[in-house]
Order: sequence, then structure tokens, then C-alpha cells
Amino acid sequence: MTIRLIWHPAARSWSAPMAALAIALPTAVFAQDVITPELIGRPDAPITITIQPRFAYSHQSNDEARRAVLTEAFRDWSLRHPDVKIEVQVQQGDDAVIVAKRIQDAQAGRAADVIMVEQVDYQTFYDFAKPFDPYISAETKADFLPGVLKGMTDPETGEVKYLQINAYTYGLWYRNDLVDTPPASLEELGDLAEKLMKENGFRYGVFVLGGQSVPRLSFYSQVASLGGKITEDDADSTPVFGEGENREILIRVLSWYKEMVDRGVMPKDVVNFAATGDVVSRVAAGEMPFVIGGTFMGGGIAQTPDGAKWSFAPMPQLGGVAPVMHQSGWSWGMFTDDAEKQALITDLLMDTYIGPWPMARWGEAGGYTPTRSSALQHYSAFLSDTPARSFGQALADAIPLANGRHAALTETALTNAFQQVVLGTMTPEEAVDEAWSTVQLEL
Amino acid sequence: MRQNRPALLWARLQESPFFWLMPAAAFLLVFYTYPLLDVIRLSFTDAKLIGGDYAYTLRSYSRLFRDPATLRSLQVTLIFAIGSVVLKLTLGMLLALGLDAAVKRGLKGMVAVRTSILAAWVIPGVIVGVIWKLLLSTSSYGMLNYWIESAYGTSIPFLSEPQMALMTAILANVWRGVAFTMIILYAGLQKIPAELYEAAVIDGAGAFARFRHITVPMLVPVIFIALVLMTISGVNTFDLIVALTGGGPARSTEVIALSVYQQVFKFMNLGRGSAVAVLLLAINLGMTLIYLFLLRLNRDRN
Repeated sequence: MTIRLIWHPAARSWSAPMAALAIALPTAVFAQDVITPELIGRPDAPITITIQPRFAYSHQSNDEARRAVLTEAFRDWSLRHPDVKIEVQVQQGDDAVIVAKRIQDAQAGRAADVIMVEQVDYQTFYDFAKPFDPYISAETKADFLPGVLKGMTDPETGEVKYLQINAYTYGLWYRNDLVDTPPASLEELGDLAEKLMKENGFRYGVFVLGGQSVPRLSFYSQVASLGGKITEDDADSTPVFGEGENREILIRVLSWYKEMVDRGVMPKDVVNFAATGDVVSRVAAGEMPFVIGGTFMGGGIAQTPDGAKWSFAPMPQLGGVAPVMHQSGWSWGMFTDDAEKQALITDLLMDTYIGPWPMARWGEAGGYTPTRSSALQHYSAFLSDTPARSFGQALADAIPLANGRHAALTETALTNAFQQVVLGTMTPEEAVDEAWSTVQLEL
Repeated sequence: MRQNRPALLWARLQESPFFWLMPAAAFLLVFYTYPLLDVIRLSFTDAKLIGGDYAYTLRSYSRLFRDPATLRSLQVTLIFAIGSVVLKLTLGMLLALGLDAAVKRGLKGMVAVRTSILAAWVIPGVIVGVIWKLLLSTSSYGMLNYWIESAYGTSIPFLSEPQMALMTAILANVWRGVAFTMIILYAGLQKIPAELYEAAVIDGAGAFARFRHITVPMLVPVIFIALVLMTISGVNTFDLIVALTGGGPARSTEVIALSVYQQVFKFMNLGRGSAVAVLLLAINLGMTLIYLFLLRLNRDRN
């Protein structure tokens, strides 16, 4: 017996849903079966790719929007590559310990195929990371922000060793309902902060994200803008902040912070406020009109009751000189030697985090600033949203932060100098000299 | 006879204590002695965590003792450890005496009291640090400062002023560890014969005299054990400090254990970090030997 399928107009009413169901059913079953926290893809797939994202940047994230975007992106890629399964090993815990473990894994040849690496650790992994150059076009490279591309490129080989998924920089958060034009100089910021504090009953005039972040996020910009240097632009990030003019400039910068504390515009408490949440809680309490902080605080500030009243501007500088902005962020580094896997990994990253569209979607969901011009210029979220547009502008010419082997040592010494000055236990001169002798002893 | 010889040897071997100690010795050798010796070896090198060649040198030690930060860390560690030990011992003794008296009087609810005190002891140091930070921060989420500010219009910089931050860290450590001291001392109190107290009461000794002339002398061995354990735990404290102050402000709470972490994991300086770790080990050993010497002196005197 032969069954003949006869087309009938009445069949339209049910055939379309049935066809959609026929397509969707395997997809749904696939999605249920193979998107687990630890595994993406079919368990019996012959090719295995191991990836190590940060927890918050993974499809396991606690944030629903991030989880949804990444789950969809990974599922779509897996459907197109049924012969590949992705083992997910999220990075959780102390960042420094995670980096140490990754180094030891890489040295022992047992590193995951692709690992998330922060810009400040690029130097550490240059020797282990494999280049992306064979798999990405010149147009793709040129689409990254210039400072980001410079950071991703190994200065010794000229190869692109990382693909940076987001970028942050440091600048001034200000209340746009009270300030029409953000101050361009630190002197002007101090005066305006004091005035607004008195007139509007704010507890403080200006707050800064203190702790270990201060040297990395404030001093590099404030010293470089005045023509000084904290570290050399070499592979080791050799400290030079205690020499000649650099010392004088750093003392001037530290003196401004001391003046703010002495005038009662900035509290000494900032020494203990190292986490974004510490400062955002103060923003939520409406304690100040200005915060020197990072673009990464945008998500938190936006969620405060007066979130819409806050805008972001580039870092104000002493004397109002043009700011030199620095950037950092998280990226993917590839560690496998297998060329077939390298090609697959690049394709996977392009479809999940690095391509303009996935990067824009992920950036919007996570509240991060994309690193590609096309994502910033063509995606509506980054065109219409004022803070996001400001972040993009601030990052346009930002240069990479120092990340040589002496960078952490320098930052720790300068953090101590900053805290001594703010607490009033040392003068700026004494604090800089002590930091310099500490660094010299280690070198 | 020849056939029985292996059996004889086996029997003799089984009689030897060394045979039965071998598994434990092997475990200690592989998992404790070898890593310890390796840390000591690394302390005489300029090894980096990132790998590469390294040379044997004394520079890690010479830098260690020239660095004012090391001396400051040593000072902070000693203040932290001594403060913690004194307060833990005093409060632990008071709690143990109170608990003992309450149990002897048959008061109800003592199990609940003991459990609530012990609860702090089982909480990991990191969590204790976070709890105290949430409690004492001058931020809007700092509960204690919120109340203080509501009442007096000003907040107390528990974690922002260097000296106060160190005191706060000591108090947090005492809160966490006093239960342990209490348990040890309470166990010691149970071993003191009741007849001694009864005789002292008949002789007209008051509560303080009984404490001074019976309780303390009888508890001396237990107190020394508690002192050794508390000192080691105090000198090695890391997790609580990291979560509470991160070693700040201005390195005012940077204990030696934190310096080891910084050198190894932040600066990737394995040789230098190992040298600091060996210094930490030497302090612990030194303190333990002093306590053991004092304990022996006390025994000889008795």
C-alpha cells in the first residue's frame, strides 16, 4: 500500500505548527539533554573542548540575563557542531590563587583548552597562550579598540594572544541633576564637591573606590596625564615612580587626596572601601555628588534609587590637562596545541563572546563595555544609553594598564602610600619615598 | 626449620612497633615532611611561581631582614597573637568556670549555652571576617555603626583607623576561638577532684583563694596545651584577616601569613614567600619550645 501525501489548503492550519514542532522538538530535547552546568554538547561527541570561564561570566552565572544570553549562544553553537562537547570548569575563589593554579597547569601541560585571563595577567601567560592570528581576519583585529588590540598582542611576537571580551576604565561619576558639565580638573572637582556638599547636605563631597584599586585605576591616569610615569612601558613594568619628575608628579597627585581629606570633602574611610559594593551602597544612601570610580560600577549605580541621576566622565586631572585613560578587562586565552581545536575554539568564541553581535548582547546583559568598535557603534544599547556611550568614548583612546611582573609589587607599595597619606600618618613625600624604597628592596 | 624462618621473621616484624607505625610514618613523610623540607629548600632559592630556572641564594633571607615591612608584619603578628591568646585565655577561663559552676548547680539550658558558644568556633574564618565586616563597617550596611550613628550622630572607624582595625581583628579572632579555649579548660576542670575544694572550704578558703591555690595549679598542664595551640593558631591566622581588613589600612593588620600569600600569589616570588613561611615556622616552633620548657619547669618545681 502506498501512502500519498496530498496538499490541501485546509492542511495549512496544522501543517505549519507541526513542521515547527518537528524542528523544535529535537532542539528542545537537545537543549534539555546537553546544556548542563558542566557540559555543553552531546556527552558522546568525539571532540572535547575544555573551557574555564569566570563564574560570573559563564552560562552558570547567578544573573538571569547573562545566563540566558550565554546559554542561547552556546546552545546554538553546539547545534551546529554536534561532534563537539564543551566541558565547563568555572573559575571560583581568590583571583591570585586561580592565576597560580593556571600557571602550574600550563607548565605541566594540563591547562584547559581555553581560559579566561584578566588583562593584568596577560604578561604571565604570553609564553603559554597560542596565537589567534591564523583564525581571525585583519578586519576583525582592526575592529578592536586600539588600546585593547595593543594589550591583546604579544609585544615580542606581534601575535594576538588574547581576545578581550570587555573593557573598563576609571573616571568620574557625577550627579547630572546637580552638575551640568563635569569638572575637568581635580582642583575644580574639589571646589565643586565642597560647595555641593555644603549646599545640598551631602555627607561627603567626593568618594573614591579605595583599597588596592587606587594605584591601578587612579594614579596611572593622573600621573601619566601630567607627563609622568609610574612604571616603564617595558615587559617587566619596571617601577620608576620614585625618580625625578615622576616622584614630584606623584607627590602632587597624593597631595590632592590629602587636601580633600583635610578639607573634609573626602572621608578617611575610603582606605577600607575596596569593593564596588562598598561604594555603591554609599551612592544608594545618597551620601555624595561625586565618585572617582570605574565603568564597571555602572550596573550597580544604575540600580540605586537615583541611578538615572548619575553620569560618567573621563578622569579629571590636576590643572585640567587632557586625560590619559587606561583600560583593562577580561579576555579568553587559548592554550591547546591542537590546530583543529584552535579553529573550533575561535569559532566558538566568536559566536558566544567575541563576535560583534554576541559581544554586544553579552555586554548589554552583563552591563559591560564591548571592546569592538562595531559593537559600540551599531548596537542600540550602546548608542542610546548615556552611561554606556560615555564608557565607549572614555575607552576609545585608553591604553592598557601595566601588567609586567613588577606591576603588582608597585601597586601594593602605592596602595600603602595612598592609605598612609589619607590616614595622615605620613606626608605625601614620606609615603612616596617609603613606597620607592620598598620597591627597590624587592628589585 | 627453614620453612618456618619467614614466618618467624614475619612474627617478629609484627611485634615491632616500627612495623605498625610505618603507614602513619609514610603518610607524614609524603604529605608533611617532604613539603616542609621543600619549602625550606625553596626559601634558599630565587624561584618564581611562573617557573623558569632558579639559583640557590641567601638573598631571600637577607632581603627579609632588611625589609621594614617584614619587621612591621612581625610586630603586627605578635600583637595580634598575644592579644588573642590573653583574651581567649581570660574569657575562656571565665566561661569554663561559669559553665562548670552552672552544671554543678544543675541549671537548665547549659547545653544550649555551650552550643551557642561553640557555634562561633565552627564558622570558617572567612565567614567570621565577613560577618564582622558587615557588622562594623562605616558603610550604609554596617549594622553596629548604623545604630551608633543613629544614636550619637557619628560612626566609629572600627576598620578604617590602623590601631582600631588591629584591635577589631583581635576581637573577631577571640570571638571565633574562645569556645575552643573554653572546651579545653572545662575538660580540665572536670579532672580536678571535688575533695580538694571541699577541704579548702572546710579550711575557710574563699572563692578567689580556691581558684588561685587549687584551680590554677591543677589546670597548669591544660593551660600550657591551650597556650601552645592558641599561639600557633594566632600566629598563623590568615583567612579571617583577609576577609575582614585585607591587611589594611596601611598594612596595620598585615600579619606574617598574609605576607606569605602576597609574596607567593601576588608577586609570584616563590623563594621570598618560602623564606617568610620558614620565618613563620620558626616563630611557631620557638613559641612551642618556650611553652614546653615552662611546662617542664613547672613539673620539676612540683
